[in-house]
Amino acid sequence: MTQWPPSEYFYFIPEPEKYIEHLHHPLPPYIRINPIKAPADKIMHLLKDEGVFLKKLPVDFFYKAACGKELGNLLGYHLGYIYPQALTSAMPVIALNPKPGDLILDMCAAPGGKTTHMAQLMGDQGTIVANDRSFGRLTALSANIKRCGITCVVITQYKGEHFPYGEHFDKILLDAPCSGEGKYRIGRDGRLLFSISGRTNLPAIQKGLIVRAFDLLKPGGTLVYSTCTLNPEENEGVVDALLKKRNALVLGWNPPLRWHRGIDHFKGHAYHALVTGCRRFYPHEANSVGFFVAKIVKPKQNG
Amino acid sequence: MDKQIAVKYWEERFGIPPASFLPYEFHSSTRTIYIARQSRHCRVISSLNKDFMGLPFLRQVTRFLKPTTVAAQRFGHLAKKNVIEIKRKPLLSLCKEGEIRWEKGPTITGPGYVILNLAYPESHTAALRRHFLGVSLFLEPGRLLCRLPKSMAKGVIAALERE
Ligand SMILES: C[S@@+](CC[C@H](N)C(=O)[O-])C[C@H]1O[C@@H](n2cnc3c(N)ncnc32)[C@H](O)[C@@H]1O
Repeated sequence: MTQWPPSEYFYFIPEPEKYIEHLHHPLPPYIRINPIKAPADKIMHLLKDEGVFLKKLPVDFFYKAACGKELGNLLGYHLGYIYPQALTSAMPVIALNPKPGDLILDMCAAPGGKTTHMAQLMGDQGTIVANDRSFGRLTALSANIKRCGITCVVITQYKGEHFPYGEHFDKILLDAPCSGEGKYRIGRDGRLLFSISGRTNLPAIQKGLIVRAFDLLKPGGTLVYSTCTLNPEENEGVVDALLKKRNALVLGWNPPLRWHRGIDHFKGHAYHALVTGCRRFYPHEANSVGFFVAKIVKPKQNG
Repeated sequence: MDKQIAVKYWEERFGIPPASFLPYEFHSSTRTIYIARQSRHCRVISSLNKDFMGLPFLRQVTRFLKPTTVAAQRFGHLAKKNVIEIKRKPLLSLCKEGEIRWEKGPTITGPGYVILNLAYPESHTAALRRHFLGVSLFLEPGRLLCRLPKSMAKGVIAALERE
């Protein structure tokens, strides 16, 4: 039988027995509609005609989709009218609050779910630098940008921790590589699905990325650090490391989904008090992938 | 290839006034012109080692200029001529066979690329059933050649065949 979740997670997962029960069910499909390609009513009509039942959700442009076939086989998909995407994956973008005209760095962008969501909220105006270190994943990123008809994106391929200093950014999204525990499910045979084996030292990579991202921000700028893992060492632990190294602030914000505060200690480590301003989203409460989101600002006078 | 040529092509072939493209800038590689949203952040952008910027807009194919599928999808609604409304059945034949017979009709000005506007479902009002798919090549006296990317043509077949 699967040893999941680990016993040290029980103190912070709300109603852990419900979480464990929820792990046995597949997550429902969600879509975001893309008004850059066509007006929303036209998209909705086409999807209805293609046999897709849509349920409105409290997150703008997102719907729960029920449909007899793969979402990727719909005409609406080929036309770039929709982007299949976990509901909770909208949270980092909502925290960053992109606006038309912004200069944004998406440091780990592929395959582009959040890049294309940000471009849509910006009305395709401004500039998003969508970066990813993986050449293979950049192909998927550029295909999604084209499919969604976006013109405000520039693609680069740097290791995030070596992204060049130059002009600084208004807003940065660091949707970091992580262990993906928020996606875990338990299969019929009791095996853990979607778990990644042979991990590298993810917290070390994430800490390198977050410091570079912070240093690339304009004073007064906003950095959103997000992962789809429950692991505090990849979440609050990384934000804590930044707070110790730099003069950063964590801002609270009001997500449109049920959320919990960041935790203040794990495995005997007490974190910086500000990390409780982070937001946690759990799979059994959101009925979607688990997410962690930290909204960080660089004070105007950064001493 | 240069920006002037690209904008002029879209004006002459599709009747889209050059002013529609004022908020954009254009970048070219050997065979492709890309359209990118103009931005006041060009200093940052110019200092970066870019892989890709904006959307492919127009390609040079042998001696001819070809509008890209994504540009036809994104800007097709602005076109005033050389747009054809195609119904589900002929579109399926076009995607499967690669070529169908097509009567010229008043919207086609002559041989060259036409933007495909799928009328789907046919019962909807004109505004709701206009889906810009990409382009096809119209040749005299009445041939229409599919120029959708293979993956898109396959996708259209899979999506529309079930009925
Ligand atoms: C969680 S995924 C990003 C998902 C993406 N933001 C989206 O919404 O579609 C993490 C990405 O980080 C990239 N990555 C891993 N290490 C990196 C590094 N050191 N610098 C930049 N990108 C990196 C991976 O290739 C992967 O595409």
